[in-house]
Amino acid sequence: MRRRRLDPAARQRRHALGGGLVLLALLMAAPALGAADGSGYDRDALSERGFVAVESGRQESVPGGVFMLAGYIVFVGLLTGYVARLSSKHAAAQAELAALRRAVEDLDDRIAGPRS
Amino acid sequence: MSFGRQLAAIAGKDLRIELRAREILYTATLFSVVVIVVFLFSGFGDSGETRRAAPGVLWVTIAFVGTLVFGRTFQREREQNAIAGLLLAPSIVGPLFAAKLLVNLALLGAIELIVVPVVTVTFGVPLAAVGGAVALVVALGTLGFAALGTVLAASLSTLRLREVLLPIVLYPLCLPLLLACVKATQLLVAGDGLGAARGWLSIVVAFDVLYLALSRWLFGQALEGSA
Amino acid sequence: MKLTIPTLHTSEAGGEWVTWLAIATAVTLTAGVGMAFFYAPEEATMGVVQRIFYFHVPSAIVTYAGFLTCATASVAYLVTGSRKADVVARAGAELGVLFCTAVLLSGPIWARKAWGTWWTGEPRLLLTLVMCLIFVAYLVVRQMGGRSEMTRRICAVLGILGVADIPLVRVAVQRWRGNHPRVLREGGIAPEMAHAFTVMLLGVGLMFLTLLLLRIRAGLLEEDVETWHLQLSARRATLDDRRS
Repeated sequence: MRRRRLDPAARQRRHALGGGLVLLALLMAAPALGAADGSGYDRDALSERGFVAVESGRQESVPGGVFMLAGYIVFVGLLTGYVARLSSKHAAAQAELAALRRAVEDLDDRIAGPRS
Repeated sequence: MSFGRQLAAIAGKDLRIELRAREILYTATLFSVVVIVVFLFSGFGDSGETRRAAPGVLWVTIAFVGTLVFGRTFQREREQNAIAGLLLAPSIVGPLFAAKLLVNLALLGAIELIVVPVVTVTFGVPLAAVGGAVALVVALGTLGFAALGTVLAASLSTLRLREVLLPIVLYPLCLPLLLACVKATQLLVAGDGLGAARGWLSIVVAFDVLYLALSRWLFGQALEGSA
Repeated sequence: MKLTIPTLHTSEAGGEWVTWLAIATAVTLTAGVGMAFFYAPEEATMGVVQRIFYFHVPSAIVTYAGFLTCATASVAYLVTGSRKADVVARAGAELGVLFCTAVLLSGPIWARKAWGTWWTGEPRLLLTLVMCLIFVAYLVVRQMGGRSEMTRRICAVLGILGVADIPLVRVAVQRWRGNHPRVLREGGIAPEMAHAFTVMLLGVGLMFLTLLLLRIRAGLLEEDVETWHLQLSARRATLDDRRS
């Protein structure tokens, strides 16, 4: 008996999915390649790598506060800018949509008009 | 038609066109020589440090020439929409990908035959001592690079700004492969031999396999809409 | 006679949802920033600049979420051809680039104080930079390619390639030694810092979700605009036919 044949589109889709899954699995395994080579990070003492809370009120030589503030300003500025852009885009699309809707309804009336 | 005959027909056609016009070969080879000369004038070529710069110069040149070649080979199919006719053939995607990849490899390989000796000689690398090993790295690196270049050039070929977009897209995606190739070449040029470069070389091979598989998979997806 | 017009988007879909999500985001982020400034203690060696960490690392985590969203939606688009998936993919890529930019801008500020240099050839820095470049290129192709079906396919291919490339970039750059602080995996962090970090992670995560949903809404609206444009020109053609 012949096997039930899938239509070409479905078969292609299935191939695409299968191929993608195999590739994803391969890619997940990729970082192991680097690790297997044995050249990882130095395992330094935690005090050099980690964060340790300060014990006494230590003075700083470089104005870290300015840097930190600059960092937060950049972060907030980026997000605000994006939200502003997004809302203007949203508003523009909505306005255009309303105008289009009116224009289409107007044309619909004119198309329907002469017949009735 | 079988896979092999379809492949041979497409690749043969492309190579015949190129051998008659020689437009890619001439322009790209000249371009690569100019790039190397620019690097020489930028000061890499005049101190004891020259050898250390050679791998970087070599791979940057190959990357530049690559985008030129990949963009052009696929463009020929887009002219007068030849691709639409080609895609009417049943199960053509596999042979088409293989043929385009082969043509890209052949053209880039021919240019590298000139680029590699020129770079090694101008940057004071002993060609006789390390030439074979460097050629191996170049061949392996070019394979993965061309695979990715083939699928990206095919995808972008419908866009108006394809010449600008191809390098913008291709270089960041290829960076890990190029990085591994530069490192492997550096070890070879420093005279450490193939043994020292084995770690990086195995990474290059692994990347080749992944890029080939990914490109083959996505090539069909990219072309599906243009039939 | 009125034709019905197929739309992807009902303009207020999920409206309530997004509002609540936005409120939750605002509350959590405010609390997180407050904790980062006033509750978490100052770091012993890096000093006050370490407080950048509280949004730097969550942004990095959310960047991956954005790019993964893009790749997943791209696969869905290639398999199903659904426009919605395409809109989601674009939203994911855009937000990934947004937060990646935040990481790339705040990283050097920290590095300048902590390591004494704006930029080094450190693996994770390079990985982040390359990732950002890949998806900026994706957005450029989107922008330049217009709204054709072909551009959507190309971008889906690019999105998948981009995310698939991330582990490879990681392998390649990690073979250089790094001096990035690796606190989260090694557990070297004061408890108050961990609390502040958790709240900030939640806040930035919620921010990401809110923006993602909003971006998807805007994207669907734009798709609708496209559909209505087609409808309008179809009607114009009908009218012209009748006249002639």
